[in-house]
Amino acid sequence: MEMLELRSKALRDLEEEAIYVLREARGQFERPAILFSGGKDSIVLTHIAKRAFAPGPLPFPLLHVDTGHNFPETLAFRDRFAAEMGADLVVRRVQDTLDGGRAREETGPRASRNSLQSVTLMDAIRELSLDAAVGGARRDEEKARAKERFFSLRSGSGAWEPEAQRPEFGRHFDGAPPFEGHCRVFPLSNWTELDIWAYIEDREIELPNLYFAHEREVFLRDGVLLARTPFSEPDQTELPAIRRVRFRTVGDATCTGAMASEARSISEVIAELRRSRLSERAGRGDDRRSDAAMEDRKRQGYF
Amino acid sequence: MERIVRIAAAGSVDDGKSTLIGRLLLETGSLFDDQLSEIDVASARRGRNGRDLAFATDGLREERERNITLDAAYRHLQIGARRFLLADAPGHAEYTQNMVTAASTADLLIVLVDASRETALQTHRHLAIAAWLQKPVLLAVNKMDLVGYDREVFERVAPSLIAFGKRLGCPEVEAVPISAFHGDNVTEPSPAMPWYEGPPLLEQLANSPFPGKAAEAREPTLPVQNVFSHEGLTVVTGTLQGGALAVGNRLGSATVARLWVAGEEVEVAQPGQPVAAGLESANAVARGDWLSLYYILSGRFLATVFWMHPDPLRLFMRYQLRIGPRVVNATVRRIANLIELQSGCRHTATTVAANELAELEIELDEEVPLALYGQDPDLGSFILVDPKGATVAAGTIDRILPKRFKSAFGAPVFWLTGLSGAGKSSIAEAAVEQLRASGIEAAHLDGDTLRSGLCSDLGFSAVDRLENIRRTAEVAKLIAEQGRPVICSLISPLVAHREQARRILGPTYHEVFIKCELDECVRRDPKGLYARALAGKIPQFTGIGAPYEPPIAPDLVLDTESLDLDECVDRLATFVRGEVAQ
Repeated sequence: MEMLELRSKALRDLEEEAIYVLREARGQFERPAILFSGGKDSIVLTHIAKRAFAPGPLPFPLLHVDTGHNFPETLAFRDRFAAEMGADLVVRRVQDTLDGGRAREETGPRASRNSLQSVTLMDAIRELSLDAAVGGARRDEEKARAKERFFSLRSGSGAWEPEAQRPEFGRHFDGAPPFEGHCRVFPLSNWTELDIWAYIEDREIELPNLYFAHEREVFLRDGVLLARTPFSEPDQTELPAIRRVRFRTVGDATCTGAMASEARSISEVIAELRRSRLSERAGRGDDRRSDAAMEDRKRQGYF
Repeated sequence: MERIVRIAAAGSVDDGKSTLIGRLLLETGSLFDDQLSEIDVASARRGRNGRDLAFATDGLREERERNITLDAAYRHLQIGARRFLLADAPGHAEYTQNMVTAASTADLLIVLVDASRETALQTHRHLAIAAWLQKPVLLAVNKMDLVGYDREVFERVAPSLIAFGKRLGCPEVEAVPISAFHGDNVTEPSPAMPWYEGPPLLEQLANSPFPGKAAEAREPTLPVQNVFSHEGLTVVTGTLQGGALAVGNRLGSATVARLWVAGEEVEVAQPGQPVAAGLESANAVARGDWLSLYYILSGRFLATVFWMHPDPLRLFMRYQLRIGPRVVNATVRRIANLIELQSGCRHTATTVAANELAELEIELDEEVPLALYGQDPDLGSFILVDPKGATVAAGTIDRILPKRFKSAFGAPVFWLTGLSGAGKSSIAEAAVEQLRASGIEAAHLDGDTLRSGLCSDLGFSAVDRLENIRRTAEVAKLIAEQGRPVICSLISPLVAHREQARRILGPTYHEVFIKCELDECVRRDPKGLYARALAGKIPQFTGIGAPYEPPIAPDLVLDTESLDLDECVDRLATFVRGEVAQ
């Protein structure tokens, strides 16, 4: 097999750190799982996990919380990716949570199932008796995440308590969960969006084509360019148009904004990101609800 | 691109850390437009006069409402070709554990001081923590605008803090006068402070050498994180420390058959790389083991410990001590000193409470390899975890304490008996080497060596043989009484010989039978002695012209016909370690 080299020392260090954290997650917990969204961060995370345990198999199942509002490309990619990784894929659906009466759907044109994912996620964690959920979140994404530890505890209700985080000292991680709680583990904490892309380029990682420029029918809502899908229809004032776009983050179609882009390859995406004056989450409708939107969702058990 | 340099900004509350970091982020173009507009909206909503840069890192609702930093925020920034990961550490005394969290992974601490006020106690605390963790410090004397950019103020504040830091043992302390609010001496030299000749803060960060972890040429060590099997091999994972490791090398007691770095199969791995090593004929290996011969085995050490939990230290309570993947039960036997953070003074104490630094004597339930923080910050540091799982303290190992011996008579003596050619000397020599690598300095008394010097007047008559044993045992006793274990390798053919040694050495005597049949010894005949004895040239040669009586009840038997040399050495060294340990 051809050797794939990481070109920068910074990236090699970040990969080592991620591998160390993943190996600690496997070593410290009985039943850890990777939270897999089908986005680039969880794809990179899964690739690194595979490398961390080579030549053995991937020792984590992939847990996907499906809002039912995903892009079909994401779901197709997810199933193929899990098969290629030899991963055990576990899908839990927000729709089932709604049908079971465990949550109520938001209504109105701005309705999103994004925050409902927390309920489905917590149900899945309990159902599968997970003691750790490993995620691809990064500190550079958002100001509340900038504060989060590598091993981040959640109470029995799944809540993050930022004012009472367990201290961390060097690389000695204490993952003992609180009573009835669990631990979230973030191996990519110190990566930036550009690090993720540089890694994808160096390691030749395949991504869903949503990340690259393509023609799509979109419309503008609250400054965010949304794709027209059965779950996100424009109202009378929002005029849809075919545009050349790509997605910078991939999540629920109702709140994931597209951006006008001509970048069709990894290197073109990297060049585009270097020029960008907007952060990755500028295109996320879910973060725009208030200035502590992410913190509030995390307090309720969000990823 | 070079490595990412990690910086933590500390200092007392309201000295302007978050503002400085906000300004660094702003002036290096590290804030995106939407983040800036979010900061502007938040500033306006909270009635700020203009843009409050502290909101760039104070991202929690409570932080913004109370105008404080609760926990460290990590932000990326780039200056020239160098990348930084900057942690904004909280200044309040009650959140000092979060400052320690941020400082523990930093290459440099920026400690902010408010030039317009009396130096706060918290500033001294943070300098003391920098000294404890051996982090270089850049003192940013802030709010110079509030004191009219007065040189005298800077020269009153900076030298005493530099002296304080140095006295406590900070490796480096430098100072720069700044105004984070107006940007003086942050990115550009300040026109308001022409008297300051040093570089502005950003330039200092961009140009300081940050060597990272020094590469020491040592034995490779693998702290094992996971263990699994693959195609008949025992695969162990971990980040390699100390030295390079190659296929074919020995790691602990096994041989490396295959090697992977981050999933790619390789022939050689370098220290700092995440490896998986496929081991052949590995004995029981478990997560938390260190595969190496380098480290000192001990169960007792002195450490400097920062207490992080509201429940104070309880002497003799059982805590879990964690060094990376290793978990071992530990008790604190003694509070040697409490280190007053404001002054650096040491005094005695009966307890250690949250946010206090102390020197403690810690005892482990078992002996494990240990490293000193000064030599190896990763392997020489640890956390203490209480029975509820809470991280209660963080510590650094200062000194590994000598072992205590089981016997009141001194260190143990191991008496290796067996036929010539059985392998006594080879096993003893290699065991001494292996023990030295694990911190036990054993002495070796070899029959041939003694006969060429101390006993050169003796022959092989019954009387002379007994005298040879007596002298050897007496020398061994002298050495053992001074605390060094001794391995004696001499034929000592008769039960009576060994009983004499036992009488002299008392309970420190341990008999080890190096077992090998005469036929095999004759076949090996490494020195050609059997050939000469069989030809009648050496009379009274043991096994040929003189009898050998096997031991009746030896403490250890090493059969060199069924075990290879390495296995015999491992077993002897393990036996010695077990007897040396308390």
